[in-house]
Amino acid sequence: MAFSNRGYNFKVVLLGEGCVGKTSLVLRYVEDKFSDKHISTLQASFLTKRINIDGQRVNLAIWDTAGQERFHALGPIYYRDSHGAILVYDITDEDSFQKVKNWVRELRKMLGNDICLAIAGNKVDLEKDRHVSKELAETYSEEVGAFHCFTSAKTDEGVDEIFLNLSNQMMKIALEKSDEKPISSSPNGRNLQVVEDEPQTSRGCCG
Amino acid sequence: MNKYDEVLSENKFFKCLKCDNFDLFKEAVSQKYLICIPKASVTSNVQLTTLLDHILIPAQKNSNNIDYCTKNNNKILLKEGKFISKINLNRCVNILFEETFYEEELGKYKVLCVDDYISSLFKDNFTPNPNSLLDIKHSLKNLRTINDFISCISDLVDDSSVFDEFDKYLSDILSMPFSKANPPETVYLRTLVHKVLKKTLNYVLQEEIKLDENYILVLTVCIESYVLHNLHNILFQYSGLEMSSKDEKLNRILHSLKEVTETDLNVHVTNINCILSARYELAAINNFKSPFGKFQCIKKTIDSFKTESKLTLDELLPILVLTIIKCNLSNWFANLNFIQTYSFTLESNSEYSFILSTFEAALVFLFSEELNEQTVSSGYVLTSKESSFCLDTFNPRAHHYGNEIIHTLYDYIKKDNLESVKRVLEVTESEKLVPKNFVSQKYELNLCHPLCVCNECKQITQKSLKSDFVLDFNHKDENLMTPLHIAVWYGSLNIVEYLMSKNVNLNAKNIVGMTPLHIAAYKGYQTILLLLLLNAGCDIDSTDSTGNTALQLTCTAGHDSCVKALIFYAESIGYKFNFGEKNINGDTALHLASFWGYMNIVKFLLSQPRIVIESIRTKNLKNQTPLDCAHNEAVASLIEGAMENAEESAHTDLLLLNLEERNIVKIDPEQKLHDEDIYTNTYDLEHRDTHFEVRENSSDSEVNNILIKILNAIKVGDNRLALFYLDINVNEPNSNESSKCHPLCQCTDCSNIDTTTISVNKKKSLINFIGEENYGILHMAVLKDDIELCQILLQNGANPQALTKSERRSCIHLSVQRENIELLKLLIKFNVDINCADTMGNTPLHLCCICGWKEGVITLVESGAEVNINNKDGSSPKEEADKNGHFEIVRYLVRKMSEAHKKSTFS
Ligand SMILES: Nc1nc2c(ncn2[C@@H]2O[C@H](COP(=O)(O)OP(=O)(O)OP(=O)(O)O)[C@@H](O)[C@H]2O)c(=O)[nH]1
Ligand SMILES: [Mg+2]
Repeated sequence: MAFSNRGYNFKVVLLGEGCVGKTSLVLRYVEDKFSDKHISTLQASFLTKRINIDGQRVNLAIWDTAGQERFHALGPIYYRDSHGAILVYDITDEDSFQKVKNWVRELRKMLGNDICLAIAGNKVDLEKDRHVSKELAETYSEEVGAFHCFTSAKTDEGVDEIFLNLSNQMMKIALEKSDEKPISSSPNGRNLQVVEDEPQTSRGCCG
Repeated sequence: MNKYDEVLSENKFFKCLKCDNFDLFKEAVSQKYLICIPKASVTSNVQLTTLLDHILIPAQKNSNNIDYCTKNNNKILLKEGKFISKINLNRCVNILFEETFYEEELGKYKVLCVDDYISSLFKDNFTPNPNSLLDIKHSLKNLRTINDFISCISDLVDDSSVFDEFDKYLSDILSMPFSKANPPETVYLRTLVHKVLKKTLNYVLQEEIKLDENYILVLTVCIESYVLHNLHNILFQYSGLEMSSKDEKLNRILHSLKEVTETDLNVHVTNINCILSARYELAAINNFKSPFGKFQCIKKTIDSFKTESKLTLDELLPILVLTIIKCNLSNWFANLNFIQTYSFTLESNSEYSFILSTFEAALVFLFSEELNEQTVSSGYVLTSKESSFCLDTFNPRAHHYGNEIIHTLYDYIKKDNLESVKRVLEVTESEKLVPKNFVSQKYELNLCHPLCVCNECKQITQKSLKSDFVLDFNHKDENLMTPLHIAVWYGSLNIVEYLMSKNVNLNAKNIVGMTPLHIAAYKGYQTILLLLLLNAGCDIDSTDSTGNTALQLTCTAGHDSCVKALIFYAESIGYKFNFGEKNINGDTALHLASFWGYMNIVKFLLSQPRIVIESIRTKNLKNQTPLDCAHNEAVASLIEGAMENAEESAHTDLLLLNLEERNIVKIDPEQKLHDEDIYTNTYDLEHRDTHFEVRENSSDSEVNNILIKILNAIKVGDNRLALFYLDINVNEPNSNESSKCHPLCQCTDCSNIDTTTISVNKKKSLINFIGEENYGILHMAVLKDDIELCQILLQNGANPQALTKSERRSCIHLSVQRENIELLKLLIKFNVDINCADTMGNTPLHLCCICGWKEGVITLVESGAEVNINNKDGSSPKEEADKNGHFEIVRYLVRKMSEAHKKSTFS
């Protein structure tokens, strides 16, 4: 369920080639840390972040993934049931942008328009080595309906913005969906209601 | 997972700050000061000074802590998620969570929710929040066993009858007649369970609404786990059935990956113990019967990786994959399916699903066989149970072959490049690069028997002496692998053929006792297997150091084609397999195929008429028949079917069989040849660590090689050969025995007429050598129940105290395992420490009590064995006897103990 009495619960998955800075982005966002080495603690593989947008609580569960090619086939296990995905590429690496395109194709095919996409052009602090054209990236993102943002985990640029924007999008989609279906009926009836008879404090559609 | 949470916008304190003191709030936000809000349950009426203490101005940042100064000018510091007063370091306020706010008017600001007033840190009468103590005990983190769940439920619900009530609901499902032939669908089962759960929860929660929300979550999880624990036996079997073919395939893959190491997976583990401890954690998954318990087991496993601080995140998956490979369990998908199907309360919890997804990803990755393709070609390591316990310590790839030529040779063999192999071998032969001494050479020759002097063998020995032939074709590397082993390992057919044409030793054993045939069977190379068999001289029956024959190995690894090849070949030459042959764990081929869930192999084995009689009722050391260790219901019903058929036609079959047997093979159903540890779990990995230290001791592979030969000689009962190797001369035994006071007598008169003459010899040290094999010579003699040999060995300086390598058991332990009273008495006579404890902390008396051997208990106690001694489980012998239901022994021990007690109080 995307919405509970504690606000929205969203699952966000980070995808992208190895070494583009997925882990760095998450660590910067959640713990405000950055390391020059391709090293992080395991704790970072799954992090949560609570934000509150104009009075709406949003709980983000952020799933980092491994970019190594050999694990590519495992993607679906990680991105199923996600509300949002951040596709990361390295602006100094043309290939990593191609990978983003592949991910977009796969996600749209498997999850349709239910999933909100954001594309992060990471490492903008290395602007001088840019290999992916700014215009190209932005037009592409617009075409596929994804929010595009230039980020740097190193200098903390655009990190907050991309998560905030994605959260806003996810809230919009969740609201649209809750209009179609009443919230009380959980997706596939697989959630156990703890106390059936207790009146549900409905905080559903108010602000 | 059940971290504290609340809606801050409804928190009184927050409202007070934000609405009533907006200027202060605005200043804090614009200056990026830290804003703390005590949790809702502690906030009462708020004064301005208190508010000021909750606005923190950063002062200084040290490595671990940050100093703050409150707006009220009090100094505090932030350390590991706690605020500590600078005046009194014992006081602290914990951070519960952080929330980042984005508001149009104010922009972005962060708020920390804390578990008490910050200002309480500066007051004199500080009382810690009582709630926080309860939190720890009932946090989900600490719950995993059924005891945890029960005690938590009884703590949170004051109603002793609740469990009776639960059991009533449970009986709804437990009493249902499920048909085996027509298993219920998972969806149906899930709904059933869901209904029962709802009933139980409603029953409890009607009365307990006063609990805070976090407790309700904990309580719900506990009740759910209690219910599922009780339903486990019914439900898990269907998960097993549903996943049977997936698990079957996975098991095959896992066996083919036994030799994978962390380097294959690009894992850079500096501390191998991290994987070891993780493996113990994960291998216990089948001990947990509730989905949540199993989940906790996986979570603990993953948590234990975190102790490895240098590990990068991207290694989580590979390292989990590696841990799974090393666990030796047979039902991974069944476990996954069970957890996924029967999770209700936490199903949508994000951490729960993250960990399950990681676990699933690891299994799917293994299942995809990607790893298989990548590593098969990367190099050879021994395939055996043993090697899988060594992780990196035993990885030939990490060793230096020490010899360039061998290195290149292996490379050519791997590529099946015949011409190059020929060149290398034939050149080195002519250059005589590897001279060998005669003795070891003699052992390598292909004689009928190492001592044989028949004409043919004489010729071979003479020829080898004369021609100065160097043993390049039979060269053994540090793992005692010959080129033939290596060629079979890589499945290089041409090389195998070539080497065989050079008359190499077909039955050479490597360091774990595997012959080339074993390797072919384990790796599943049918063509090579047949090639080896067809070229007579290959011993189809030989066993490796874990007591497995080729047939058992191929049943373990799951190669249908090789099972068939072995059996058809045997049939074609009129050889009768002994299907009752047991390995060191007492498992027959049928046990193994059944345990790992290989349907086709089980089917094929059962189609062999003799197997039904020879093996279907055999028990392994865990006292299980093949049916008992069946991987899933499908396998079980195959075996059951065969048993029924067998009973019907038992009469006629038995008649036929008796006729057959008389001519060919004698089958001893009670055969317990390789019993090594009766009590430890076969597939349980505990206490294998000792392996590491010992491996280093056995530097001399040549000595080890001889040791293996001696052990094998004893195994097959060829004591004369064994003693020959040991250089012990024994006069014609039994000739003078009658004249001794007692067969075991040590008095001077008797020792004069002793049946054995001791000759001190150069290889004496061998007698106490424990090399790569698990046990020494004396151990083997004990395991063979060979009193006579034991006596000879002991008189020739064998150390009765020597311990086996893996379990660290003494001969006395082993004699107890064998339940051999004569041996036990003999050993006691030799002044062995009868209270010596093995790796589990079990003394011989513990073992007796576990297996219920009363005669042994009496003998030991009477010889002064300690009765008040605990093993690593904290149990005394009496408690072990009690646990295992040997009440006669319990009574005996209680009597003895009270007698001893009386004596001591009287004196
Ligand atoms: N200059 C610069 N370097 C960055 C930035 N973000 C990440 N890096 C560096 O890029 C390297 C890889 O970062 P990671 O975050 O480990 O990359 P990843 O995407 O998680 O890689 P995989 O986990 O292998 O898929 C590290 O050395 C980081 O220090 C950035 O914004 N600027
Ligand atoms: Mg990463």
